[in-house]
Amino acid sequence: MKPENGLARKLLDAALIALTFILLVGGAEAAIHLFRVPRWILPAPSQVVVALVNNFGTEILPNLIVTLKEVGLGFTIGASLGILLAMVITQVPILEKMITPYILLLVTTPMISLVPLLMLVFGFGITTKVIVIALATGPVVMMNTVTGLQGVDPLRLDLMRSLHANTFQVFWEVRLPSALPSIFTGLMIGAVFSIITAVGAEFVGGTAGLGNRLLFNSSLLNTAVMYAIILVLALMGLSVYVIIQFISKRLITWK
Amino acid sequence: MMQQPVHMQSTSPQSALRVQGVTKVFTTPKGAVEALASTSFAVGQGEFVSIVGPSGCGKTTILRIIAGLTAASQGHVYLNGQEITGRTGGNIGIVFQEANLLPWRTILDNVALPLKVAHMPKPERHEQARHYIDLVGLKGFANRMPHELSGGMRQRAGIARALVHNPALMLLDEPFGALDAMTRDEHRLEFLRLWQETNKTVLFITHDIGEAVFMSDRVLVMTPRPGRVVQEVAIDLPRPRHLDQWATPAFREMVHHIRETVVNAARRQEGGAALEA
Repeated sequence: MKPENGLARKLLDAALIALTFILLVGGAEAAIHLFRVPRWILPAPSQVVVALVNNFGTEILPNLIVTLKEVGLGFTIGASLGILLAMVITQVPILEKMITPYILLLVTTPMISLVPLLMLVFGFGITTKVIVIALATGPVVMMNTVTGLQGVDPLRLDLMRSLHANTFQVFWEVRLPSALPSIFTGLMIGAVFSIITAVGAEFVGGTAGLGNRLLFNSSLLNTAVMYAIILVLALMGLSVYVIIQFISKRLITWK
Repeated sequence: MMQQPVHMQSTSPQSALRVQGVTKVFTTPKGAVEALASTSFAVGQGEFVSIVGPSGCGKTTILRIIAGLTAASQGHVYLNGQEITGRTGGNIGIVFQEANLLPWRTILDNVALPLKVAHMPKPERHEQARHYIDLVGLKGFANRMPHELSGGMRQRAGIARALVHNPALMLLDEPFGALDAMTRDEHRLEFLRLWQETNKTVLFITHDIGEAVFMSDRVLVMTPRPGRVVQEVAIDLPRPRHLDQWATPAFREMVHHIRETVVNAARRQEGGAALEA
């Protein structure tokens, strides 16, 4: 049976994904009950759902908001600075030569390692986390933006030059649109880095955020709540991915 | 039928484009490479001149120098009496090998781009762009994106963009090379019609000798290493041109003559190289 149109195909795909989900979750549920796995080692999916519902309003949601705030602020600041810096250094080649090795160092250094240091200066609150997330996001966004801005088809630059376009016109009409796919690749990686760094930074210190709650519930052997938090983090990552993908598809209509 | 350079210039007393003693030397890690030996020629107002030659003969280099995209090592380029050497100062429209449209802009905005860069307000530049879109036969496609059009239609848009700002000179760099044979014939005829309607001065670059003869008033024959114009051939076929002319003896003789010129020059150069070695 061959689906005849896009809708039928989409429905079939969705049905397949749902079927996989039911098989996996149902199988896990059955296996865990069958083999009597202790719930502090591996809770059944139903127990995770119960933990999620019971703790959502009191524990999970308030801490999700904290983590989201850190990620939102850190990512926005880091990505904006990254894109801005990329625009500047691609216009000033000497700056690019000076800065690039250090940016590479920033990309390859795990930013979480700075958290204990920054906590000495900025304390256990949100400031430390926002700084670290921005540091984890900015360089990777910048590197991808630079790649995009430099990978412009030279014929398009020839066209603009033959029309006597000024630097700003060349940038706005040709360089920026050419770079958009790369910029979004950078934003996607940056967003993933932000979430990883946020949870890691919350492990290191502080009193709030989903990372902090994971450690806390671990010490109480509340495995079901831990799984519920991990589930929420996974959904959070997925949502960020979907949102960025959506904006990217809206802006880059020609691919 | 064939005339010598001295005679040529009298046929174009009012030169729109004058190229004087232009040379180009590229410096490579292996030393200097002379891409273009001293080159001089002129294109009259409203004249259609082609440069024909094998790849590597420097015909694209000469186009880039005229457009101000590459600096000449020596020499001067004048457009309507004004020197434009080394600057993108000339009012020039370029048609690229492949249409070179901006994929993120509609056909309308692509065609209007030269006017936008020149800060013309949107309603006026769109009106002017629509006029040229209609002129090249793309009526009804103004709001499409480039990727929705065929290669031939994209090149029509490329031609409209090169015309929209009423340039003093049109430069075309093998504009129909990427099209299939039938579409190519159609585009050649249509471009000739446009040329006659708009009265443009045209410098047309191609490696297709037949195409150069079919389109032009005059053909400049170039040979490589270093690139130089070895001959000018006047094409006195009646206009408007039509496809049947390809089969006439006069046409075939001109194509044959130009091919001989290129082959002989290449042979002489190989001989010279053998003597040097």
